[in-house]
Amino acid sequence: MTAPHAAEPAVGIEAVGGYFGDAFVDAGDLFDARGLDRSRLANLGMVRRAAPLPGEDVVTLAATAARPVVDAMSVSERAGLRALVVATESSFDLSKSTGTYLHRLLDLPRTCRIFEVKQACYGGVAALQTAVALVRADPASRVLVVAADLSLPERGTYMEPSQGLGAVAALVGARPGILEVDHVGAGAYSYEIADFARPRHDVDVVDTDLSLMSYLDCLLGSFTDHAARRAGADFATSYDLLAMHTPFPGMVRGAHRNAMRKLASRTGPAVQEDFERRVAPSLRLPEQVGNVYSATTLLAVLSAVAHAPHDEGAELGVFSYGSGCSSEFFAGRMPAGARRRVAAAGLEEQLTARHRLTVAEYDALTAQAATTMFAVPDAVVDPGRRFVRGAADRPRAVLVGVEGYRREYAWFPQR
Amino acid sequence: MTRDQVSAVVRENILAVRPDLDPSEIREDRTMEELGCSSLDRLDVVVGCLDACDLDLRAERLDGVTGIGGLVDALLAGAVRRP
Repeated sequence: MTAPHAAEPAVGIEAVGGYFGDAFVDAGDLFDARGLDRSRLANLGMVRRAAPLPGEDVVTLAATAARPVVDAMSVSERAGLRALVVATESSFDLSKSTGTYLHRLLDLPRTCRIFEVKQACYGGVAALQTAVALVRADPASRVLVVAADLSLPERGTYMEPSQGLGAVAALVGARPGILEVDHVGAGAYSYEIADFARPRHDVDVVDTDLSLMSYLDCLLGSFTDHAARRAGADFATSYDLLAMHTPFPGMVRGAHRNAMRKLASRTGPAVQEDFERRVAPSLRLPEQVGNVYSATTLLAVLSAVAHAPHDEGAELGVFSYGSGCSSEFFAGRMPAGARRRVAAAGLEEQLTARHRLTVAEYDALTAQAATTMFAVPDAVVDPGRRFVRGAADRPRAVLVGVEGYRREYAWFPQR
Repeated sequence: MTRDQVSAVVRENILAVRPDLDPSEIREDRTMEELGCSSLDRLDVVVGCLDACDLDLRAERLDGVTGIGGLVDALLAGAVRRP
């Protein structure tokens, strides 16, 4: 395959951060409590599901994920931040973007654009590629991308154990130490379809079968478009690793198996071996969190990089799918030291340090969190309640109250 | 393809994915979910059926489909529309 980035100056991800809450519920515990068929747990592929705590919303998740990335920037680097792009499908405001609150909480410069991107779970990659294009137009600049989401899946469904919450922050610039992103060769595939919609914050309209078929349709379609743009691109041989949108890990296994057959005429035990070698590293983080919608593909990318057997020059194939639908397949290259830079973000340590909830605690806390997660006119939040459960030592953004729909946030500990 | 042929394709593919199922339970008035098929089982059945009917994998073909009989209808419609 022609080196995808040879003719283009490198632009991509320089630094990352992530936050997936301070609490989780064990997927098996949730299966048992809800009376779900345990034999399906292996197919689902989930281990733990991130759980919401009172006072968490899309802003607190996004700000907490992005804070270490911004704190590590020098004064001049912050001054060169020209855009903050937030991807989410769980915003509480139809007009004012989530990024405005982040801009205040992160003390970003006023010479910085702020806007929001929405296209279901494709939003994070749409924001990433938008950021790459902005930096290509002004290579001295940087753009901060934050993808953040949370949800209230219907209790007792097979979706519930696999739908999580969290945020991934990615600083995009012309010195990508984590992933060089191929923008020009990215393949796209989109059409209108009714597989998932969220017409109200508390209403998810889901056709699971249609969504899985559409995911697979888009994987084949976007890769075919990618291959048309990058001569020689081969699904089976061009990428050392693959990171794909992970609604639940089992879906990625099924999609990989079908894509290997359809795109590369590969079947049998070699496909399973290929999955373990090239795809499984991308699932190590998602299986501990659950689907984080806009942020999921970026989380799979970080997982793949962190667990890559080697990094210098490793090629990563990335597939993102957002219901409704739009999708993209692009190539990225890991520079030497990429694994170390992702490891420095401490995502694994954060996930390990989370507090394990019983299902009864999870139900009670989710119900309480739901009262302020989305738009409400007035509320008072007692942030002290949630920090009893916090484990990892890091600053967290918290919602402290809502008055006349105006939401007030603070840092704990104070900035 | 006739409707009976497509119906046989669906039955064969359900049993290929879930050989543990009782063939007499596979009726057009049932859903695969009722038979205990997971979402991934159902995906594999549909992809297998599309291949067997020589139809492109197009998600739109499944829009609004419910039940085994609905899948047979959708595959038959696709096969008829195919140029």
